[in-house]
Amino acid sequence: MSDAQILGEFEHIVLLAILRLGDKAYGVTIRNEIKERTGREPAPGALYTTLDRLEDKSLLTSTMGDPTPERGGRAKRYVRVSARGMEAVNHARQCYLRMWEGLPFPGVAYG
Amino acid sequence: MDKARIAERILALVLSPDRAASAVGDWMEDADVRGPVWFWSCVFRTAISQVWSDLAGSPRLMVRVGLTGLCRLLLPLYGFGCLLDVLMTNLPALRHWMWSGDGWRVTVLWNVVLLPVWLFQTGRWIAQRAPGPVAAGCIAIAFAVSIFTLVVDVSMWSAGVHLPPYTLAKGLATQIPCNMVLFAGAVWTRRSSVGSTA
Repeated sequence: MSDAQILGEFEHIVLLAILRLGDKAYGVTIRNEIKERTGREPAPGALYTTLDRLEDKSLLTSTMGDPTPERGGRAKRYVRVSARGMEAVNHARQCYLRMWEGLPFPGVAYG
Repeated sequence: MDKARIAERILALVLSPDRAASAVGDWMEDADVRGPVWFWSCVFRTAISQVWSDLAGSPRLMVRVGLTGLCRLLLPLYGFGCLLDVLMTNLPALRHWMWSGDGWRVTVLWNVVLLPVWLFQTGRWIAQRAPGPVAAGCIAIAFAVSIFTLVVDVSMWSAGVHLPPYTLAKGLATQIPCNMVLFAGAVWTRRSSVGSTA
């Protein structure tokens, strides 16, 4: 696992949101998905910078959709998690699971 | 020009044109509900965030651009100053002309033509050296020049050289218009290169 594939917390959340959205993942839907699931709206600067960084690290791929009138004729940039991105998400999940394993938290029930 | 186009041009300074257009399109979807303050906040926060990301993401490149830009900017300026000094020392007629009241022409030529042209050319050089993070490259050079000014003034002050009051503040304030010309050169070249590849 290279350094480029080690995810920060927000990168991890963004990748999971993209995976949940499937073919419908672009800026607006990703922001809404994160807001709905985590209860906090990501800062626009953070979201777009993170998407660009993930694409630069080849953890994402993007394709341009068709321009639409409600967007002033601008195309949506749809993103998908690449094979390297999937590896990175799986690695992050394994790390979290190992860190949680055996931790006793009184009053918290584990499902 | 409508606000979306202006926003797109601002963002295109720090993102590729298609990424800038799609981000602005995303905010246009919600702009009617959330209002113009939210829209412009998205534009500027994204631009600032991207510049910071470029600075922090490639520190070696930024340090290299900052230092080589500083040398490129200052060496010819100091060279010109030294040349003028040598000429005035060795050519009494020139020295007389400079101090007789017509010397302002040289000052005007320097401040209005030569310096802006050189700053603009340096901006173009930044855009060629750091074609993606142009704004970050300009900030790196501005930062390097500010540090240099600070070090020179503090060294002179420590050595007992009498400096007029507010020298440092004036030196740093002068950089604002200089950096704007520098940035204009970088933006000009970036837009030309993006336009030619689009």
